[in-house]
Amino acid sequence: MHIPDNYLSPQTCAIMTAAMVPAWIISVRKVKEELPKEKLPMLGVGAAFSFLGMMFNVPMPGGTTGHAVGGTLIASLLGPYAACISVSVALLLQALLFGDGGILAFGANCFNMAFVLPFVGRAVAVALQKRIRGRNGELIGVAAGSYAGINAAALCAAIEFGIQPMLFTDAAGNALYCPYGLEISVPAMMAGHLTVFGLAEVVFTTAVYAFVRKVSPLSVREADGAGTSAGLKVLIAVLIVATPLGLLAEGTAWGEWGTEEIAQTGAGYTPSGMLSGFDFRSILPDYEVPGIPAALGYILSAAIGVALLIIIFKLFSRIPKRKRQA
Amino acid sequence: MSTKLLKRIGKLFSDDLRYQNRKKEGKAAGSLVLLSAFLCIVLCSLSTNPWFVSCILTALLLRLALMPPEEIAGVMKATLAGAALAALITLPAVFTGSPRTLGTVTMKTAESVMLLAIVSEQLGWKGMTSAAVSLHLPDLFLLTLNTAVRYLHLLGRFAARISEAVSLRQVGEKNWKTSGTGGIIGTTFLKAQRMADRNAEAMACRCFDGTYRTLARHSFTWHDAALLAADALAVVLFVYLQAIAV
Repeated sequence: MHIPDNYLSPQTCAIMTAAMVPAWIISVRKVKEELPKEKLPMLGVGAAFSFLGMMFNVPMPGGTTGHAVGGTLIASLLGPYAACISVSVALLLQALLFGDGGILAFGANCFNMAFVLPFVGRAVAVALQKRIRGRNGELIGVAAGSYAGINAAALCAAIEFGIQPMLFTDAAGNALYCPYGLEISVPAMMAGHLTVFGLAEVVFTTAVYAFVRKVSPLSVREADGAGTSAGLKVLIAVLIVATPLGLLAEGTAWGEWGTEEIAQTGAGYTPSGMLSGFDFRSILPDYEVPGIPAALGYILSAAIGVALLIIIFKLFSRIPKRKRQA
Repeated sequence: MSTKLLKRIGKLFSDDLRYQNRKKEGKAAGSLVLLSAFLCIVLCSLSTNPWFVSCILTALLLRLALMPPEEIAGVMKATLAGAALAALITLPAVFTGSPRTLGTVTMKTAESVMLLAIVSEQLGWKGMTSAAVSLHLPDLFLLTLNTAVRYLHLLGRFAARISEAVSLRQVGEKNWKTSGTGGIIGTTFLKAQRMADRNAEAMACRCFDGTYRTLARHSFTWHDAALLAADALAVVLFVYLQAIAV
């Protein structure tokens, strides 16, 4: 679901980024108001979970792959506004360091995965939890919310892809950016997310949510319990070591092909906007460290991403304290 | 040497006080932590490719992520300053045809500084002295090091106070900085002599003849075992990554 650069027109990217600006501003304001400062590092832990979830690629028949996002998980643990910030930072890190998701398309990716996904997921979860009381109701709500959230996000991404050939074509009528219209992009994206990837999101979200509720019950929407429990640390460590499992899924996710691949996907040509578009070289492209085995590179990338996310949010939690002391 | 520079040096040593006054209970044996740090720095220096250094830097980042925000900020400041200085010094290598030197030296410097900063945060000054004693380092060396660090701070603060007093009494545009600096440093030296005498008297009063003794006994814990396992893993990783480079 990570839209690379040059699949969306610069105009679309600008509109999506502009749409995200108020969401970011309101989220930051809400988190400052509602979340205790001691709990801000938990945003980093949430972002780390989301980051790791996105590294576990799941294969689909037809050679495409997808992954869980974990936005509903963070929304259930810390609230949708915190989830918006956490997933945005995780996406930024992925784009800058690992080349997963475009720099220009960052606003669009955030709109899908950091805004639509957690807010839809949390709304569905709350609606169901009000109807089905008890412990099971809580888990059923989170599971249904995660499924609804990831599908809503996938639908948004599919629409963003699908409107490109309608709006941006060259003199010959060829698409300048994503060559597939809505009639292809929506079924192609939704087929995977309504089945395998949606299920992956449900399994990832409910498994981690149930685990967190068991080992660190205060982390579930309580003001206390700011510290990261030993159980959570162990879970993160296990996920980091297990990330090479994501390499077992071969193939590229739908809509994430390179310029050299797209002509062979059925489009028959490489759109000119992609050939002459924005090109950003990340430090560790595709979570690989050149020269060392892919599995070790994947583990290193996961560890670097998790550590940086937690450090960033821990340092962020220092800023308000300083201002308050001043 | 200008008074501004003297003030800066004074502040630098004053900031260092927090490291001296910190007392922390390390879970792993201090001597083992120091030896592990030494091993890591040596292996990184010997590494002929950037992969081993990248692995150690990643492990250090993970260790840093587990520390409190205030300590993270301290370690990051030191690391970024060290790395920036290393990058600045090796910048000419880019123009002389060996741009890799810039990356290699900067990475190795960042690794060493971050590792030492984390060890410093973890053990504190007293912990490091205790660890050095248990490693049978000469007492004279430790006493000199301890005294030097303490007096660098005290004398730095003294020099900063004098230079501030002189600058407050300055009248007009007369450039007293070069003529007054000798006086400030001379006064500081005399003050140092008096302080050294007082320190010797204080040592005698406390029956301390410069021989360090540690009364605390450290029994082997699972933290020690984990650190030893990490050391072994680092050695294996070093050998493996050097081999695949060939």
